[in-house]
Amino acid sequence: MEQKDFCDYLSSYETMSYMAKTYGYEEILAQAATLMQADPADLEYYPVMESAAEKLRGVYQYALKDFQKHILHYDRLYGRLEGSASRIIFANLIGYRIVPVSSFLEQAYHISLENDFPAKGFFEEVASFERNKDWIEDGTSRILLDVGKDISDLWVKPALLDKICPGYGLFLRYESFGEGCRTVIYATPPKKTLDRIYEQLLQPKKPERIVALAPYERGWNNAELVKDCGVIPYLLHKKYGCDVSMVGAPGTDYTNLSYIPGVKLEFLTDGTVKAKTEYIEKEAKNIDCLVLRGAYPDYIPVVDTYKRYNPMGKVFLPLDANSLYMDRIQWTDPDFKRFMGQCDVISTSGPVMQKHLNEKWPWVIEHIPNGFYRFSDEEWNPVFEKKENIILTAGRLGSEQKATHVLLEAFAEASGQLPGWELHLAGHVEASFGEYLDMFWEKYPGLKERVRFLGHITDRKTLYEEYLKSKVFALTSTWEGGTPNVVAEALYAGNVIAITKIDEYEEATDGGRCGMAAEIGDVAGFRNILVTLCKEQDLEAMSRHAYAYARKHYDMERAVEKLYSLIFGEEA
Amino acid sequence: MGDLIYRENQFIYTEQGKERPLLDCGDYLSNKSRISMHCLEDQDIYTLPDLLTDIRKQGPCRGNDAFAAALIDVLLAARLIRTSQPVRILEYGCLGGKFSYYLASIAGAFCEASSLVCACDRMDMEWMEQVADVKKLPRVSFLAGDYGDLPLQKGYFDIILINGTVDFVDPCKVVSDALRLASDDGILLCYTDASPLLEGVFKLFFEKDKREDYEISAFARLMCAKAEDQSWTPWEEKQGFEKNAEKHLRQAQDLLMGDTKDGRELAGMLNILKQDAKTAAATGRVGLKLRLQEQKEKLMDCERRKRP
Repeated sequence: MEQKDFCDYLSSYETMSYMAKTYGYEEILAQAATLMQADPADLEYYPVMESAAEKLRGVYQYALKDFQKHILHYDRLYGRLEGSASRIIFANLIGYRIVPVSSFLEQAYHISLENDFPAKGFFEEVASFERNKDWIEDGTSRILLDVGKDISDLWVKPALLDKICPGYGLFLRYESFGEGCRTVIYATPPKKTLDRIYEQLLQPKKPERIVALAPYERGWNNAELVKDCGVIPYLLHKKYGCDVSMVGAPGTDYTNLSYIPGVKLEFLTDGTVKAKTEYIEKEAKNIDCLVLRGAYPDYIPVVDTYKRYNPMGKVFLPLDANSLYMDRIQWTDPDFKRFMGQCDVISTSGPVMQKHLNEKWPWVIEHIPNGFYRFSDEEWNPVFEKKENIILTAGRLGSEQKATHVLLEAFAEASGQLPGWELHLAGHVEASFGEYLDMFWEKYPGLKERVRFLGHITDRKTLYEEYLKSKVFALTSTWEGGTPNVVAEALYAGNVIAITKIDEYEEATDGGRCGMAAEIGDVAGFRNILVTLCKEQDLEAMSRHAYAYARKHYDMERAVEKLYSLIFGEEA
Repeated sequence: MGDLIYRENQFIYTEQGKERPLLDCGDYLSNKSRISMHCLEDQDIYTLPDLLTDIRKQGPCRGNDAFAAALIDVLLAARLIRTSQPVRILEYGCLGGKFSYYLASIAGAFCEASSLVCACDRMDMEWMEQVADVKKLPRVSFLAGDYGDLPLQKGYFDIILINGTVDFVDPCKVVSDALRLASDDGILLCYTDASPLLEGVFKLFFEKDKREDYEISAFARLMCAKAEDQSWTPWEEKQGFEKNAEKHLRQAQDLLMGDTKDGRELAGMLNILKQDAKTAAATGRVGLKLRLQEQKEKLMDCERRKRP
């Protein structure tokens, strides 16, 4: 560590905490000794706490070791202190323990004189928790804790108070006492839970700053801007005035950005973990909520950094979950446990996966559906009479995940029984799929008029028109991370769903009320459900149900309202 | 700082000039019983005097772990010497096995049918090496588990050593858990080494007149108490989390069924359920967590419907 870095670390509690976690005792001692122009061996026995019951216990080395060993408790206390004055005083007292120069104490003293804590009047000093725990437990008394008698008192006494009766408001002060000074915590009784919530709800708030960080070593892509990755930040901005940024490696052709006005794209130098952590280190304090995408290992150091610099900041983790991936995760891994423990809201897009993970994992998993948002205020009401005999699919055609060949084969086999029906495929075609397509056309030359590749449709309106025109939406995926966005879009357009049995197939078809499912990879099975659905007498009723069901369950605005309440709803 | 001396066939603990006899070996030194008591087929003759002499030789060196280990040996010997039954010992947090060695040695010396469970949140190879050095091993098991929630049978252990060389994140949960695992007449030993929160918490559980304190060094202390003398229950336990959560579920149900649904009331209840769900998740109450989640969703729907 350079001397300049060391001095920088002393500028705030967050950075001191980081230094204590990152560097060893000897290195910090050496830097402090250099700064004070003292011999490290002498500094180790320098008294930093004159009032310590045993003088030996109050010397520099024990203060620093205590800070390093119990850093999590110090961090916790820092997060528990009420008011900015308490935190500044705390930072200065810790600064003094790292570099015992009087300027830290002077600053702590002068801020204490401002004395901005709300409670005036008598505070009863607690000399021994052991003897006084009964009346403390009552939670009605104002309490004074002298936290300067022993090195560890600063964090142990408030921690014990929390154990006996949680919720006391803690105000730290360094004030004159007799001929010297003392460090004390004024503890005000916990307010009744509901009163506290109401009080917080009534306080005016400034817009929250939200940062959505791209996964892996990449940036956000254009298509993601109009999926949940971009729509959720956009709606948080639109509905609640949040200041939102999507951050990742540099990219180009963000034509969809015009659909999500107000959302900023910020580019890092590249998509590496280093670039992400550096960005977070710089911005953490100004970020109220960090939005991730998937429980990927790359995010672990990022969240560690975020919580280090902003312990009160929130983390929203949509899991992008499918059972294949989730069941492979070693959730007992200490790094993973720490990561998940630091996330404030964890969600899946489907209820099946939500239930599965809630039973399996020791964290609360929420359900935030992959909803549909139209980006337009125009009236939207699918009319069945205007629909044509079209089966539509949309996605990355020919990819292993989408298993487009299953759909093509199934349609080819069903085509004889479905005269007048066409299959429309919207989306970019993977290059590797070309060979298969050549074989397909060779085998079914008569289908060239009935199977149409529409290409990648960038204009949302044109895409929605395709949905509105179709009667059936087909999805033959091998796996999906939750409920796919296209399902919500299709249901909203009154499309009946033909789907493979991915994790959330029951949700996609509302248990069979607006669609049918076949086994994954089963061409004959998929052919059968296509035939059944297209010939269904009640297809119109199913289509109406699809739309009604989508409005109830896939409304993105509702999903965002729920999310906002989960992230920023005041804690009880 | 305390000291352990052996004088006139007695192990005596001294601190600030005050003496406390821990074990009078007089009668036992003339008792040539072979131990381990339940392993008579063992050809090695190891007698009570041998054992006591070994303890005497081994320590104490003041102010360090060996002193603590010698003290633990004497305190355990004073208890084990009066019983011919195998005992069940739990070391709560064993790390590198420094104390496991002493615990295994003394438990095995008295009765090889005794059992020692060493629990830790991770396996340390050093632990295996330490235990492998024990001459007369009792039944030793290693358990990897979460501190505060060890998957062991309630009331199973006669002796539990809480090893405070481990930096427990939540010592309150650890002591609570140790008390859960201790038998009705079980004893708890708590060794704290620069772990003031564990020390403070243990003192909350056992008041001064209900425990024995031994000062090892300026920063280390050994405390000993009977499980039955517990004089404090942590807030969460006392409040009866589950009972309260059930009450909140009922209140939420009433709120949903009622005609007047005040927005603030809904928001307040929502937050309470949210907290309950988090606590339920953190404490492994899956069924309760799912029910709380379900009710929370209903409240959220209701709250949304109320909005203009």
